[in-house]
Amino acid sequence: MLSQTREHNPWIDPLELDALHAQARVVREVIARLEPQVERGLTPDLVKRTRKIYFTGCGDSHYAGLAARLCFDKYTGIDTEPVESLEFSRYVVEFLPSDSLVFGISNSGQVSRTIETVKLARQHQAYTIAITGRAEGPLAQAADVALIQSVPELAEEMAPEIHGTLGLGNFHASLLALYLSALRIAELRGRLSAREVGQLKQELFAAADIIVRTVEENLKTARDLAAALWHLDTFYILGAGPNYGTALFSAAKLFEQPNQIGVGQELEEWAHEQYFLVRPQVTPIFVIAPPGNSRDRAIEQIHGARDMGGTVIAICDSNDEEIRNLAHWTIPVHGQLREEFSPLAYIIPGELFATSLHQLKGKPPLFPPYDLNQMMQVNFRQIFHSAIREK
Amino acid sequence: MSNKAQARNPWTDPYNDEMISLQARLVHEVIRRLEPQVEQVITPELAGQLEKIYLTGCGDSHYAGVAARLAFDKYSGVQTEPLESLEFSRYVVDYAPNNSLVIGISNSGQVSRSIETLVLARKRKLHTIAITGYSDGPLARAAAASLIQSVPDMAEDWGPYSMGSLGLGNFIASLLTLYLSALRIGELRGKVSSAQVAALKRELVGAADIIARTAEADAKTARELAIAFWHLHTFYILGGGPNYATAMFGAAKLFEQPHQNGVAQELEEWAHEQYFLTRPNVAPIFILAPPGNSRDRAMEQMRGARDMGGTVVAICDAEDTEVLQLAQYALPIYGTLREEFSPLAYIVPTELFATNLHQVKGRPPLIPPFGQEQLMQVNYRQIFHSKIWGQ
Repeated sequence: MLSQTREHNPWIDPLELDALHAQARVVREVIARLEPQVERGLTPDLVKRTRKIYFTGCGDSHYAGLAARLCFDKYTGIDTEPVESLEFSRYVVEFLPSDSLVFGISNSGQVSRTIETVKLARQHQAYTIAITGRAEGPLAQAADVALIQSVPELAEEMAPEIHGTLGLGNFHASLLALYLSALRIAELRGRLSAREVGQLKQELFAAADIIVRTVEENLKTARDLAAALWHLDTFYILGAGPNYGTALFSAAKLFEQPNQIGVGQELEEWAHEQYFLVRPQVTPIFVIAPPGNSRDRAIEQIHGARDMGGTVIAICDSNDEEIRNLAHWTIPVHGQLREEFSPLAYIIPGELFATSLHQLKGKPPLFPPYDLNQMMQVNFRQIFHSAIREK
Repeated sequence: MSNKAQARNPWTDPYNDEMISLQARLVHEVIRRLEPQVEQVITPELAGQLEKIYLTGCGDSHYAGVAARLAFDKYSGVQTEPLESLEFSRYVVDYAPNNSLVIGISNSGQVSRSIETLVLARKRKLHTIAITGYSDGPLARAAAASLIQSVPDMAEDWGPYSMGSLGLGNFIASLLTLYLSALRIGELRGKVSSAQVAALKRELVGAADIIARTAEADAKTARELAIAFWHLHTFYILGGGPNYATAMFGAAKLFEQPHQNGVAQELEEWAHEQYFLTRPNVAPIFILAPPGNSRDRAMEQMRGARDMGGTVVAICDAEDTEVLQLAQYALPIYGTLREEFSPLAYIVPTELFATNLHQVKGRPPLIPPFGQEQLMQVNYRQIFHSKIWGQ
């Protein structure tokens, strides 16, 4: 594993499937490292006075907020809203209720818009917590307190070229930091007992095994699917509730890895929008259908897509025969998590597909005078060196 | 106008450009009809109780909520959150604060998920208002009170199939109803004075001229763009704040009219996601850059796209020479509205583009055994006859 990743160029080469497996280890390690930090950062006094919670971030960090909302709604009893960083820093921040708590999420700790979010939130008297991989990074420095999600020895192993990052595991790490924060708040507010929190944390630990099984069981299907769909360039991915975050995350893997058009869409919205583009043998539709509050609507959408000749890939529980029988393809999840924790496992099929597609077809070429070096330079300028508003 | 409209089949034939101009007349009519309704429905007692406001809907109705959030944040004095109907009805409704107001938007009044939203909100004893075109439709019946946005004599102009629909104008009608509601709540809560409300309403009325001028001035450019891009099938549309909704609305017009892949993205997010797909001569990027809190970031994104050979179409103020010079193409707005009202005019360029693209290239064929009739039947089943929870 170590020798393979050392030769790996993270900007162009496909991920090894080992990198997906490693996320299971991230789950165990991150929980162990973050628990004491969450206890220190979320004090009884802070929790008592908090009236509103925002999660802010860009890209995967924003999706982690979307994925964690249900957990906060269910356990904390505090009104919670995930807001993309620019939407927060340029629009929402001016209207914050008093005693707001703002989480700013960025593994690199260098994303300009998220740093801006935390700085402006503090100016507006909100309490701010950074969730980041770097204690010395500008995001951590900008916030009142930081939860450091990185696991240095794992980061070194998973992506030594990108210091401090857990690669694909960043999303898991951010999500777990948020889940643990929700459980801490709920316990301090008396909405969950210590015993209940203990049981929920056991479920989070158990996600590691589900991740491993789901990776192993789906390797062949993901490759077969990539081979069957290699000639296509647009893929719709539908999900609801916490798994709307999963759908957006999965689409992002298609942008980042094979540079293909992934379109994450909220489950209901598809019927009102991209439905009109359904034709046979084009634009496959991945439908995320875990047990929970949207399963019935997912089944309806699968029927609708099939009735117009669409190709449907279900991402569902491995024991859900009804859905498996409805879809053309299935990338099942092997094990059950409550819906609020389900993104931990339901992101795996999208990761497997994007990785397999990248391995199979590479990326579309960059024509001179454009090249990879310029693409990364411009990207870093765009996301790390955007002008930060100070007020 | 009536004769022309009656000659077209709204399910297959392109709109005429005149239908875009027609929206200008709608502004006056909707404000005139809605003002007394809003006064009647939003009472001092209701406005005084509110802890939180949710703006819910599907498709364009959801985008109206996203577009109106800034006006609510700025003027109403009540925490406001736009949410897609399913996200509210299946996930958030159980945790909404007491004394929340849930505004459910659906012009047809028949969208199952938006009806479900109000049914479940009422079961939780939350305040509910329907914004709809049909006083006798199921959405209106599900709500405690309704605001009827239809203008029957104008609906006739949209053609014999319109059945009370204002066609493209539904979005503007919903948006104006929301703006008037925000101003009413703000006035009743003492956040804005009567004089301020009157001045703001005059600005809303003034949007009509800006819509008419923009539709007229951009018609030729929209046609040229449609011809220049006729061979492409994916179009990115970026916007921040209220104009993130404008971007989603613009993408929706591409789905509905020429059945092309419109991909809306939040302005900041593009740099973290679809940026990686940028290549010369593919997938043009429309960037909404009105005067306001995101203009600087819009310019940064234009430079980023151009540095990788991307094709940029700016939608900006007609006098904003700095933005105009950065883009290869522009569909400017002829007149200025404050940012919270700007979607009223900023939707016009993408309406023009989608309409012209539809006129130039038609739609991709539906291959037998799939046909137009089945496309609409399945669509209606999906959105109007989905199983409603709580009934």
